[in-house]
Amino acid sequence: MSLHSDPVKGLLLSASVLFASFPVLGHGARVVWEVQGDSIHISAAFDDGLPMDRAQVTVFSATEPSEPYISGMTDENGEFAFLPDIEQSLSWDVQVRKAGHGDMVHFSLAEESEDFIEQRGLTTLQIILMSACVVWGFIGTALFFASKRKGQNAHS
Amino acid sequence: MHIPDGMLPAEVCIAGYAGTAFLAWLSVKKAKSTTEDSARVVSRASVMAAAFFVVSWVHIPIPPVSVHPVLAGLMGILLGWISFPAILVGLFFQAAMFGHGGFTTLGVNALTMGGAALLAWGAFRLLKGNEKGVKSLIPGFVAGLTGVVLAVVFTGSILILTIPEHIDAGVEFSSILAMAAAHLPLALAEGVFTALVARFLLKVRPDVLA
Repeated sequence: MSLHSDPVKGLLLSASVLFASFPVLGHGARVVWEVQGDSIHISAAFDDGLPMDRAQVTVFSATEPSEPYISGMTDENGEFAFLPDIEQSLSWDVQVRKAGHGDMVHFSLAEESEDFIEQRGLTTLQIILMSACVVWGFIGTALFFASKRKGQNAHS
Repeated sequence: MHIPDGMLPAEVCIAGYAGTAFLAWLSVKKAKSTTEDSARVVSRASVMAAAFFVVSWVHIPIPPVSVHPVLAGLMGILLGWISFPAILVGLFFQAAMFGHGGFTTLGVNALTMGGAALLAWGAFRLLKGNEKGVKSLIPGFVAGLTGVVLAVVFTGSILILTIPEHIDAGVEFSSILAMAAAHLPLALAEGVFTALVARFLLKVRPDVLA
């Protein structure tokens, strides 16, 4: 079935192009999806940028979440494309998996903005700041208990 | 090495949490019974948890995957029983802050890495003696190597036993084997690093080792 058979649905997909390529950072994998014409293009990489080549991709529609809509494998660049049946569903789940690593992304072709906000990844600066905060928390705990120990030794 | 959310069935995740709860309880109980200086234990565990948290960002690309240091062996020989809760805390923050691993799989990940740390510590204690020269490196090397190898074997076994029906089991099995093989250079490197640290500490501060 062509997506252009219904002008409204076709327009929804076309509008989605404007919001294309929002990254998902999580679980050691980075999955990006975008609409290209009638199809959905999936790009998967480890979070250090190495492409997830020959990773297994399983696509589920929201209307039949237990039965895969389509299965396949990413190419050497970690890319995969499929043609969604938008009469069946506008919401899709795509799982990319390789050796137990990967991620499952959810997107709705009807509600772009909310989903895209959820899918935004962290910037490098945010990651560095968050790491520094957590490490400081650990070190602070260590220093607190170390000073407590010194205090106990001084009293005894 | 970290199994993310969505990769394991619910019953495995629940079993992982049950096992982790038991091992964490046992570790704290054993640690309390073997040391009177709890402030010292907590301060060391905090520093090592920080190290464990940070090294997950050191990516080493070994195609077809990228690996990162685990430090299970080093955690084991420095912290002993308390290495398990320290790794559990580190894994929690990795999942919470960056999505490394997952919350549903936190129990399983703690069992694979924390369990490996405890067993590596056990191997270190068995081999540790009064050897001199090159032989004094063996206990630390075995601990560092064992920490990575066991973590990979545990993780790989769980993944292989829970491959879902909707994917090609043969392809996934091959990918898991490739992932395991990619960790062998890391296991050797961690073995050497842990051996050097252990020998140094045995010479200057043997009381630091668990």
